[in-house]
Amino acid sequence: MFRTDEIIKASKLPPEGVAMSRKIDYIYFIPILFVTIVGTFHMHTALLCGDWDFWLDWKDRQWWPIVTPVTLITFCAAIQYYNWVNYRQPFGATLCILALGAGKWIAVYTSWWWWSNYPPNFVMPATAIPGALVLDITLLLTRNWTLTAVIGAWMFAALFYPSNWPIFAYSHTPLVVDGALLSWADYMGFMYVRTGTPEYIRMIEVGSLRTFGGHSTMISAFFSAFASSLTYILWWQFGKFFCTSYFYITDDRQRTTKVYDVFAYATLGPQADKAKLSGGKA
Amino acid sequence: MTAKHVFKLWMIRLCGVATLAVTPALDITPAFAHGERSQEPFLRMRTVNWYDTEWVGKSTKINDVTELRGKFHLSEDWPRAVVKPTRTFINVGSPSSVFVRLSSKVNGTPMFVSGPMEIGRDYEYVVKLKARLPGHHHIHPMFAVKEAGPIAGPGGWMDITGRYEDFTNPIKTLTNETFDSETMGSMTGIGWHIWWIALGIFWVGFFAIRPMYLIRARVLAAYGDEILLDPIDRKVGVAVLVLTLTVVVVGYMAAEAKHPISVPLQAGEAKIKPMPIKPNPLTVDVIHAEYDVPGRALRMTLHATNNGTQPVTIGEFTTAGIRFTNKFGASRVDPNYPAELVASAGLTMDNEAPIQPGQTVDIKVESKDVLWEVQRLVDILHDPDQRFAGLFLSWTDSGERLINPVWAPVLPVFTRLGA
Amino acid sequence: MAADSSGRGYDISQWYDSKPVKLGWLGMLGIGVFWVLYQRTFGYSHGLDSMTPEFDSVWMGLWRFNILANAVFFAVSIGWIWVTRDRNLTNLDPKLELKRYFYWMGWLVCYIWGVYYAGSYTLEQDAAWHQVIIRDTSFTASHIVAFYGTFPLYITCGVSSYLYAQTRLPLYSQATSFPLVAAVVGPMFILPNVGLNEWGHAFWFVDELFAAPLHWGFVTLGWCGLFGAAGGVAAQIVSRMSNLADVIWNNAPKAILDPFPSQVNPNAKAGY
Repeated sequence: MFRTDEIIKASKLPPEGVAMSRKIDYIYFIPILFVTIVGTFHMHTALLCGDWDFWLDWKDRQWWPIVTPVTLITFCAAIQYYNWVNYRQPFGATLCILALGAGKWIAVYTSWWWWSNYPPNFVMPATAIPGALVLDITLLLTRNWTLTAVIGAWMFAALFYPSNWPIFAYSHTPLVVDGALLSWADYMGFMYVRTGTPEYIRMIEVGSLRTFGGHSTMISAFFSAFASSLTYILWWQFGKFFCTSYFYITDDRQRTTKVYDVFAYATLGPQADKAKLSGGKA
Repeated sequence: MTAKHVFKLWMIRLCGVATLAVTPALDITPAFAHGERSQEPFLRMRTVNWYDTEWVGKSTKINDVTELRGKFHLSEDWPRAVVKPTRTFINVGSPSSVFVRLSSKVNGTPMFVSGPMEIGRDYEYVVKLKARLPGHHHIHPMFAVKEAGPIAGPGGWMDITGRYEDFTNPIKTLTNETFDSETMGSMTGIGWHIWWIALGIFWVGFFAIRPMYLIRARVLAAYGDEILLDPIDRKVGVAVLVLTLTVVVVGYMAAEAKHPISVPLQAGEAKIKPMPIKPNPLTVDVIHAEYDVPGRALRMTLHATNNGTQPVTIGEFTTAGIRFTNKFGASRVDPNYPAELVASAGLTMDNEAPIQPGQTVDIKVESKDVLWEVQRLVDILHDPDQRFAGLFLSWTDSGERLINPVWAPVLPVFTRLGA
Repeated sequence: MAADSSGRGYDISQWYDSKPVKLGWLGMLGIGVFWVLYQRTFGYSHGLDSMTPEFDSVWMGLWRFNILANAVFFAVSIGWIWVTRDRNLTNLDPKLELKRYFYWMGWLVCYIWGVYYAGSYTLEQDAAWHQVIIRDTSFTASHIVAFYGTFPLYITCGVSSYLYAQTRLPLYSQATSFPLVAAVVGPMFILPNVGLNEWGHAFWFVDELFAAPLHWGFVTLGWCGLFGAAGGVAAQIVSRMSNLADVIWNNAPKAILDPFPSQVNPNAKAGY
């Protein structure tokens, strides 16, 4: 089914070398790469759009569909850069969102529920996996990061609201308490007391709200798509910056030079047949 | 929750052992309070002057509804370091949501969202609470001010009995459905998350089952990516793409069909009128105040005039939820008020006689108790603005209660000799 | 050890050993589980009022334990790596170097597990806990574990990872890797950034808005982690291990393992 044999053959590694490469995969992929994304991306998300993600009564039409995709697409772009440019692996965005979800769901049950006694429905996170899948697949199919920034990133943001609506639609059901109209989400935020986040902290539905036709969500999603696109471009470049791999060497006369390790396989063995394999374009 | 309890029990045992191992001189007498004592004296004395706080129903069964209610005066001496109360919210300080708050009314107006309040005016709040988690809980009313943070009121004890497993909180919506706040939406949400996570794992796993890094890096560096771009990846990619888009669209439409009536989050402002100003025949001004550090006493000289028709007797000085009373005032303290916040013989005056109609007197008052120290109000000496504020409570002969807010700079006295 | 003990035709123990990473990770897991259980057990009973003697014994006791244990761990770990350093790196056998790369990745696994505690677990736990208490001290039941337990723990693991590379791996002993420095020092600076956080919460941001700009220092320093796992360090590991594989299995010239001297610029200015 797969081209694996052909790829292994081209790598010119004996079975022992292939076994070694798989050991790297095992120790690197989940324990190092995935866990790093959990640790850093979760922090990034919590401190940039965390409040919207934590609470049911922050998931509004105006800010939630903007701040969340724009915050999330950052790492997706950088991790895509690393995995695509160095290995042609098209799963960077999905991997990021899965990692975030891992960190998040552990917190929902062991912190929010177990320690702070908030029910999971009140602190249910949003999902960005559909958008991430589309972003990854766009990169795979177009093999072009600029097109991914335009099509994929727009889809990433545009899919955010509709893919979360099945999870949260119920929370916008109206109810009346003491003669006041509330959404269910508002009432949840009222019922479950927060000492550190009084109601006024909520950044929701602010601004003039003059949407001329009431399409608040559409307008937010449209802007979010544009902002996500720009963020994607910026963070693709960040991905490049993170891949900086030079060393500094200082000799005994205190002179410092920038030096690089050499990826020998690129220049050693396959030189001879490189032209043949890549259709003469080497 | 049963599993949670079993787990907790185990953890307590395990941690007990571990803890004893690491801190041999461990004192594990439980103490329950809520950290209000570390709030600076200027925050606690000069912002909200709480009175008539009541923790209704000292013991409540799971699912029963009780109340936390009381009144407060927003001090005229509001500190410069605290943002003015232009956006405020009446909150409850409790060790997590041991109660769910069903409603909160301030001067009869529901306060689901924040709103402005006026300095110098009084407000009455009634918070309805439904018991959720069993235990012995320390509950405070709290006054949260935007950009100034939460200001904790006095804390009292409320017990909840029963089992959490029996807790339900069904609430009827305008669409005639009944939602239970503990569970509504959980299963649907988790189901959707599980589905998307499974698809995500499939997508990543589809590449992870093949050599991932070193081999591909070698091939890419040496030959470019033609070999690496396996046609099956693209086929599966297109399939996953179509599936994703289809599920999103169908899911969205299904949710719209299931919940056709929805409203945006309500983010208005509570418009609350302060309590009407009650005519008060008594005027009280503090013309001198000093804090005696070794004696743990705030000494004030009051200049008081009774413009009414009945004699008035001063019975209590209260600040930061702490009550200093003389004998007269002590008999009027609600017996359910937390004893640890009352200095029942803490108020002495050089002239205890009632102030007669038309009389103007200067009275030397001392509010003295170890509570100044215990409640850390002594820290007034470390404030950058050494002032205090509070309320004097007095009663006319016919039993009408008069409330006089006072405020003044306070001078420290560090030794008895200097006094 | 006999070659081909597994019937594979080669002996992976010459270049692979996962025992230390398993032990290290289990140790990290153990301390993490201990912290979480301690918090769940004594959070409500002793952790709500920092002015009480009970808080001092139970919570400041844990704080003292964290500081002490981390100091001991740092001293032992760094001391051991330094004392047992390789003083003859020029003659390092390529297979042994390969094995050391796996050991080194083991250190990185532990480092990153610590980063997970700090950046993900205790961070969101902090959000949860500060919703149910009145924050009355910088040493809350959540902070004592997050800032004074997990932060020094991952910093020690990060510095150890750095020192391991410097004392045992030829490339890192000869030269300073920019991404490795960034990957270790960036997250390390999250601890001093706590100073900004506490200052800000004391004077400016009294409510717990998580997305407040006050917290963004943590965010940008956290990004530096990507220099490690999804950037330069990972790329350096892959290319070096590939070169080692070529020398071991493909008879490539050993010169490819010593790439720096030929690149040194004789005209470079003397620097700092």
